Amino acid sequence: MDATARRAFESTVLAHVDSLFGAALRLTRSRAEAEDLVQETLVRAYRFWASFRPGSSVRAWVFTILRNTFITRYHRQGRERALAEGLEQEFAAVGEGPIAAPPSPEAATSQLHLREEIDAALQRLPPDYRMAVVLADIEGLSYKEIAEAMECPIGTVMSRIHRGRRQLHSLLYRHAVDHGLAEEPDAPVSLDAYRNRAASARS
Amino acid sequence: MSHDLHTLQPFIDGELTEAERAEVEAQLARDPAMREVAEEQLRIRQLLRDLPRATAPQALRARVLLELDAIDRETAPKPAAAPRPSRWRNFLRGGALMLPAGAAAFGLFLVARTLPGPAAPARDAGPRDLAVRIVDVPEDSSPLQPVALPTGDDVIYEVGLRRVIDHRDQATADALPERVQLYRGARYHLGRGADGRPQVVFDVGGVRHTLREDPDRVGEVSLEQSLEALLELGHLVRTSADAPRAR
Repeated sequence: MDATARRAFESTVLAHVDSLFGAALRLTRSRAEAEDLVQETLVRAYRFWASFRPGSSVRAWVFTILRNTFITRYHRQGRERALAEGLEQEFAAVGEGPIAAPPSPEAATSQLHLREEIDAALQRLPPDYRMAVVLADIEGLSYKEIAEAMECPIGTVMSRIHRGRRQLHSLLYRHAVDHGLAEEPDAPVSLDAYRNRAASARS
Repeated sequence: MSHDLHTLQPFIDGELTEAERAEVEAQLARDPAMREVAEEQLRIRQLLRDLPRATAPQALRARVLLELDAIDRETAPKPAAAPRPSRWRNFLRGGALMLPAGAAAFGLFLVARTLPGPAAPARDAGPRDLAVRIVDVPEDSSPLQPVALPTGDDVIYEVGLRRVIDHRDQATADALPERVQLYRGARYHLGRGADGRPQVVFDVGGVRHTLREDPDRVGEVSLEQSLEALLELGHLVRTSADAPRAR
């Protein structure tokens, strides 16, 4: 690669190394693995730098490579299935749970190192939900960029973000209930409940 | 996906036009249940936004740059008479380029040889065929004479994300590290700084130069890589009348 392309790559792609590392950390749950993932991502990106379309989102492009590299690595290591199953079981054990009852999760868990609890809850989301939520809420990507990075329609992005946040809410609230910091709600509220009520009101 | 989500979700994530936003806000004002769902989403969104941002370690950045260098070398055209790479390029690549000299680098610290007399004269070796010889030289054998100079003058050399600090001080006849490295016909003293990181010390014109990599910038570069880079920079400092940009 010539010096001009190298400079362009360094100034546009390497500028996102912190974001990539943050996302990788939440995907892999390990600093060492996150570093390896980011390194492999950037090496791949450099090899395919000529395929990047100027004018399109470099963030979306490089996060696409990060996601694909992550999937490939887990396939290669034979861990994806175990990871997905583990997460599914964890989530099934927690269940959808009661949602949106006062007190709010952030207030209820403030005594329990809220940041650590949020991180732990993020780790329990299915990978696709986690990635969508991390890209939207932590890395600040737009729906369009996330759709490109995750190679799915924008509608799917919205759905994953919505469900991911709901599950986070449930996990955080369940944690607060388990630790006696919040009471079981007597009137669960969810979007489905909202839809049902709206439907009966219309009929 | 339901119609509700199609309007509510972009509202929460700020992806609606002003008009659309006003419309959803009116809906929310009329519908407490919908507002509750929206508030739940907004609450979690804000919690996540308040999380501290991760910072990639400097060592990772350095490793990535070295990988990019390796790719450049792989993909570079190989004409019969390839142009000589710039000296700065050599420096940046540092020890990562020195795989052919791996055995020599290995010997840098593992094979210390004590010679009975003064160090043998060194040939002007290129960085790729560095003849590494470690000799133990008594401290009092230094031929250097002190010259009055201002002390504590740091010069920083910077290439990409990598940074080397050249601490310039008055040359004295003592306190030089014992290990001597002959590199490109000149003597360099190898030692470790207070933080345990390798450093290269040499004297030119009565000025003592102590080169060490800035630990905040380079991260965990291997000993061999670091020493090779420092030696090459030492050679440049020693021989260049117009030293690379300094600040």
